[in-house]
Amino acid sequence: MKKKRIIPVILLKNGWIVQSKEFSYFQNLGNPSKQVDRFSEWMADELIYLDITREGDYHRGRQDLQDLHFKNMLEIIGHVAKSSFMPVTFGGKIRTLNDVEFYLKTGADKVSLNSIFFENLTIAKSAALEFGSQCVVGSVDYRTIEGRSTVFSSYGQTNTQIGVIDWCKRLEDNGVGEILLNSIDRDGQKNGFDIELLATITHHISIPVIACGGAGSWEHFADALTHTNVDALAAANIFQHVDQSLYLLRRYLFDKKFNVREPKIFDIKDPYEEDDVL
Amino acid sequence: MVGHITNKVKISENFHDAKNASHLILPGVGSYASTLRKFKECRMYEQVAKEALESKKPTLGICVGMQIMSTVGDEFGHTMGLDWVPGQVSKISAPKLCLPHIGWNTTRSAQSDFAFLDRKDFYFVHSYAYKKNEFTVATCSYGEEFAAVTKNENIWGAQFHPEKSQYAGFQFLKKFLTTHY
Repeated sequence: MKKKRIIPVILLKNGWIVQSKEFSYFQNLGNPSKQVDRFSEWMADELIYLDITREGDYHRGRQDLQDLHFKNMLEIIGHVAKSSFMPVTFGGKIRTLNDVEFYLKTGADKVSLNSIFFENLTIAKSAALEFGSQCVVGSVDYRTIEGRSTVFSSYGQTNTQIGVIDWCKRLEDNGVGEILLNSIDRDGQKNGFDIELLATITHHISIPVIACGGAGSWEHFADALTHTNVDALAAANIFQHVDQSLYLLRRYLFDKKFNVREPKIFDIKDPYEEDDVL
Repeated sequence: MVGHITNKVKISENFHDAKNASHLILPGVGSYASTLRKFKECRMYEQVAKEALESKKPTLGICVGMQIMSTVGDEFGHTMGLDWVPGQVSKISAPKLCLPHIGWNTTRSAQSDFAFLDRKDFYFVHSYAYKKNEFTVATCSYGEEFAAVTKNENIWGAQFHPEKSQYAGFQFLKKFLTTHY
């Protein structure tokens, strides 16, 4: 049986990993190069990197720390792709089919598109034809305004007046392979996922939904898996602070018989595991 | 990942490399028709075909790379494939489930040589799949049971992405890279 996925989201702002709250307050958490090794060791199902830089140049690593120098996002992608043995999605500032192709060639397995759909929805169809719809993730940011879940654009600042379910259906019709649904209201609040919307949306679209926003405890993940039919649960903040958090979460869910992969630690020095029957 | 198993690996568009290689890998991300077109248009195509079909070098197609080796595929209309591993590639029939089939799913071995694939989780990301037939050595279930691994003599195909499947992926690639014909 196909397992439900638990996906860490890494937000990058000017080349640094950041933690966010309601898409506005950002706390710097460090350099992405070290973190990917940890997620690889914890055998994450997938990783999602989102570049939310709004202005300015990228961080140049300090020589004395012997950190890698990431002049731009493409260097980060290249490094992550080499260091991780699970799929990685990259998103942020992807504006053209050439950008899509470049990101995929540099090592991204999937690309996440958001703002570009407000200018040109059919680009998803072209990307699907050329690269396959399984590479195209539609990222949708929303708030609940007077009881209605509404799509926001421009890093969560502009109310588009479009209903979330409608927008997701349109993305699906235009070739998007998966939806990454981000609740702006719940971002960083640790109050749980938006169960109400998530339980409804999977009745209206048939492509997989990755839910993001609100996770503050292991129980929140259990609730979302119990009460909704989303394909994957993603979170950013919760995996940044607790040591081995991803492993502990998967152990919690697996022991409670949820449909997730058994948690293990990956050792690159012995990548074939004990039962090497070859 | 291949680079971790052996350091003798090269990404290439050069036909000399195909001639000198011990194993060939055709990765794939994309749609059936566009991948097939790009492969046939590339300078290496004839040499790779020769190495696979005449010299019988171990050859592995991954995801769309595996699918284009079929007889025919029906993504965006009927497209005749390479016919290196006969079979049909069509949309997965999974009426109550979401498509594409994205995530970790379990393979079942269908042949004793591939018993090591039984009950292993690999990462799949696709909407189309090879129909099960006599060239299927491992299967996967999602709505229907389809081919996870195909094999026609020296030519293998993997629907999943071994390079994205951690332990199981390493085991699978090691098995391929240590097989000689």
